[in-house]
Amino acid sequence: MESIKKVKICLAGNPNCGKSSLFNNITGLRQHVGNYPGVTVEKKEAVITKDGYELQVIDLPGIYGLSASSEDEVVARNVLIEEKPELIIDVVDSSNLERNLYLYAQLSELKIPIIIAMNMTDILENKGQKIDYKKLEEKYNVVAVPIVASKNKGTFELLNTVINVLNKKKNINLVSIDYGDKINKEKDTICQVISKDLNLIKKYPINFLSVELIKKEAYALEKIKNSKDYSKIIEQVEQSNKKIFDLYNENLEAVFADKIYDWIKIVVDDVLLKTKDAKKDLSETIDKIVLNKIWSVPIFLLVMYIIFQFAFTVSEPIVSCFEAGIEWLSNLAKGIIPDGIFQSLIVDGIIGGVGGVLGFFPQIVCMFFAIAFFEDTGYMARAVFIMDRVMRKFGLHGKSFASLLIATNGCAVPAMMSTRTIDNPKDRIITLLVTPFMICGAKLPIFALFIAAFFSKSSTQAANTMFVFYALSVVIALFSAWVFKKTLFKSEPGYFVMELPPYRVPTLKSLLIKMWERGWMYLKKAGTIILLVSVIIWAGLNFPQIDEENLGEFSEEKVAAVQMDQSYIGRLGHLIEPIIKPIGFDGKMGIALIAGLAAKEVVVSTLGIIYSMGETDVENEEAINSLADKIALDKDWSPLKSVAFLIFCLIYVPCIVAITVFYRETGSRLKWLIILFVWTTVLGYLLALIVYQGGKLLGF
Amino acid sequence: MTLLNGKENTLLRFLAFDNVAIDERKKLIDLGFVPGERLKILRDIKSGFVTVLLKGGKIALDTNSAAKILVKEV
Repeated sequence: MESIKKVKICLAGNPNCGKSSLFNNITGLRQHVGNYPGVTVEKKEAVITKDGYELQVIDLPGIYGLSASSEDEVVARNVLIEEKPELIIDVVDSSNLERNLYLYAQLSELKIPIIIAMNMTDILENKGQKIDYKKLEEKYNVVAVPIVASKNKGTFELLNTVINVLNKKKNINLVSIDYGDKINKEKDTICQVISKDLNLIKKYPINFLSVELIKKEAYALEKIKNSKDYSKIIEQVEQSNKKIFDLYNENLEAVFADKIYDWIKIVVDDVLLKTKDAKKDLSETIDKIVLNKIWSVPIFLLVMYIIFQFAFTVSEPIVSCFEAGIEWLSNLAKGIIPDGIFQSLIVDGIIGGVGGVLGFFPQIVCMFFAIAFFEDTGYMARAVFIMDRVMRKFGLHGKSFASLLIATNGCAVPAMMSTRTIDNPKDRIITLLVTPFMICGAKLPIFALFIAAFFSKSSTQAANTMFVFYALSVVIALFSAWVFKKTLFKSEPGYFVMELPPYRVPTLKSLLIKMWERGWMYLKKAGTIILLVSVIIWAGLNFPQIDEENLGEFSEEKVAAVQMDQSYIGRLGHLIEPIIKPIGFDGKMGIALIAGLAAKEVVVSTLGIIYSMGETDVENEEAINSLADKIALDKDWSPLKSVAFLIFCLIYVPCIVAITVFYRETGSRLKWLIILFVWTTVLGYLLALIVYQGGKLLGF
Repeated sequence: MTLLNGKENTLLRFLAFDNVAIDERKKLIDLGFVPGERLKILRDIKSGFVTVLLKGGKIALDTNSAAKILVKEV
């Protein structure tokens, strides 16, 4: 039997060239894709088997070249250079060959076989152009396969080419960039000096290393630091560097880049053919409106408003069905399972807890759908750029806003990881500190619950209220950034340069996939951590069990109230009540907030359990349907208390997973963790106090 | 002149960087800012944002970065 051969393949390419889409097509995974900074910040791996090969496919963060500066770019470069893949698939946006081939030229110095996945050929066609693949391969040794990753076209042919290359049925001649006689000579001289150290040859591609050394790249100089020939190498590097500088009187990075672009120009002029007149590109016309000095920010706010309106309006009938379904399930369980502790666990603990969270699933997926729509059109990349101007007033820049956007678009965890694209470490830490203030997918159910309970007579009104809270979250994040910048990090914000993708019409399939993948994360969380915490909370509310016989003729509600009061969690609630009473909260609200540290949705599931167990001091029991109804009719709550509660939820300490990621991303330094805890708790408490006490004074 | 002074729809030639930090310079070079390169201003600072057409792509720059890029009209 033939043994399976293991092969490592890296997917490299510029940002927004479709790497993650291709990765998903190849591996069948559902890696998140997007077209603004921070969507892919770490390598993602998957293993597939094909024709006797076990292909370890690695999706890398987008890079323009190998001179990395931000952390995500360093990850990409290190994998390519140090993990030594057998093959590189360079994903190239064929509609922008000139820029995309720059990375190809740099990758060719690694002397690893490269196949170009020539992506977005449909857009190229619309531009009235085509590529002469035969000439590209025969004349320039560049092997390329046309694909359209967004429509999963060409993946099969690409994989076949990979297998043919691995089977040696197809030969790839390695490309060498001609830097000109003088530079080539210096490069060869350094290669010869490096070659004398076998350790260096084994570890690094010497062509690449010599080019980077001539440019005196810090990364390359670091690699030779421990070489036995260090002094000889560095002497030669100094000589070569001086010679080339004297020749061109120009920064060496620019000299090398210029040579590469010269090579690219020759190739592109030769292989890019005009077939017909280009279809009119509306991108610039749209940008004239979207990037207008006066209208850009209002348009952005309008887009966010549309997203919330869509999420609340479209989901309204589905939410009602979900609530009815959960109610039906609850009654069914009550009918099947005999009265007692087990029925309480299923009905109050699991259905009441998890069901409370699942009730908001339709709103969550509708919001993800709407965000994915604007993301796929290319607008969200503009939004990042538009907000750069606003962010600068608070000491940050566009990339920080991209992280805040990612948090709104799902979760604070990927948002925190996306800060790796920020080059300036100070800006990065500030962004990490303010990211938890955004209303992520986990906080959304809390807001949806209380908006439904107190502030909405219609879905339009609910969306309006949600939009106000969203705006508030941005204001709090910006205010916090400003405070940090004025106190802890006094420096100018870093630079912000990005390539804007062209506008595209999103495909329904892509939107549905994005909606589902993010929605599925929510469902998975409901079935795991929320379920587990719900059971723990239920147990904490039911134990120790009180002796009902001692309660005599008390009503069922009164017995439940006494049980909760005497339970472990009830006692904990009493313990914290004096601290949270000034901000209008009682013990059960405090318990929900503490439980929310496990995952923010748990705030809702905890309230679901509490109200399912029957502690509702309501006047009109017949009107009760959903958890929102129960809260609305509970005398312990009021609109003012709910606003204070929501503001506290918006700001207070993030969930445990986000805390862990925050700690890791800030370099495991306790100092930042303490600042996060203190700032979020104090600010949350103070604002809730001002709102509650101020509101009371004003007669609310 | 710098990119910040450029007018919409004018063709420029990139000359050099003025006081640009190493990381920023590397990024700009990777994006195609090499001496002699032609670029077209799509949106000028009057519109609040600077975007240029360079190497077939649309590059957006913050005003600080644009002010450090020396160009001349073609």
